[in-house]
Amino acid sequence: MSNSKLYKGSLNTIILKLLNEQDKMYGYEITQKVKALTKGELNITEGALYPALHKLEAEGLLDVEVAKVDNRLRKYYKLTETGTKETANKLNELAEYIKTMQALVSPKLA
Amino acid sequence: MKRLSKEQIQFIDNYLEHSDVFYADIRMEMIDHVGAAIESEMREQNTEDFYTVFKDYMVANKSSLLESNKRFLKNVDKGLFKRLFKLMIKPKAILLFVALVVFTFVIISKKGHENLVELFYWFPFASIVPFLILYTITLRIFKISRFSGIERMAFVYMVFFQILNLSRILFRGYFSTETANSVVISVVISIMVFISMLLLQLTYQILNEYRINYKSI
Repeated sequence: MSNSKLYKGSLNTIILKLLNEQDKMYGYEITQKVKALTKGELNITEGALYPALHKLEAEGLLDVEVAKVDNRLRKYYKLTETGTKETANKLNELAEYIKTMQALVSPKLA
Repeated sequence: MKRLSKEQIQFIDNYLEHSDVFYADIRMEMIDHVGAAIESEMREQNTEDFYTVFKDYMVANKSSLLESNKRFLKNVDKGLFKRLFKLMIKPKAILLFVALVVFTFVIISKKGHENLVELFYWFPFASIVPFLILYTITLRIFKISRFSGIERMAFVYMVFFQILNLSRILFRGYFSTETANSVVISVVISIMVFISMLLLQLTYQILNEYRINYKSI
């Protein structure tokens, strides 16, 4: 992931937010969506994405569905009910964080 | 739209398996990721040369893929212990534990604790037998691939085997005395049986999940 130290803490929130907007997504699709939305600025690597997805799955925030697509199996992730609630919390936390950082780095904008 | 053939998918599968990505469930997700990335790259470069694109992709991303594999295994272990804990605190499980304590206490009151304690000494060894049977059936009879959740259950069993064995050693002396308290004996034996039953339940749940989700592997 580019700028990894700054973005690392927000990876779970990014994943949850994307899944909140779509019914289900698979790993590669998430990386491409993030790349497109950030115009190539943020590139999530496999080493960062999949452990995050599996952790969210183990915490019960994501549910999985396996389907056969193009000669291979594809694992889709979707939000659980708890995951949907947690997404709202995480987004609020992130908004607060951005506001605080803005107040610190450019007080005029805050 | 460029789509990889079955042979090309199989090639990625073999490559990952030989790169120590042993478990089919982890590999399945990696195959899809690598496959989708290669298809996209082949479209972009407007080429049919799968092997060159694959080689370039692996040069750039192999270490990240293997890192993902390593971290996945750590998450599997944590996830299994969490699920076991969740099973333990379910009302049904708590009721089962109480019933086990009462049942063991009644048996001890009627028959004495000597015979039960003899069984208790062998319990840690006996508790891993069901897992070995389930594991052998799964791999040999149903001929399914190696899955991370199932194989890592062996680690969970080993941890609990050590705990049960330690309890056996610690309580052996106390249980041999005639003044040993029946309630203490009942509780200790019930904990052992309870944990073993939950481990079996978890193993069964995991096997079922794999059977449903990965039936085509």
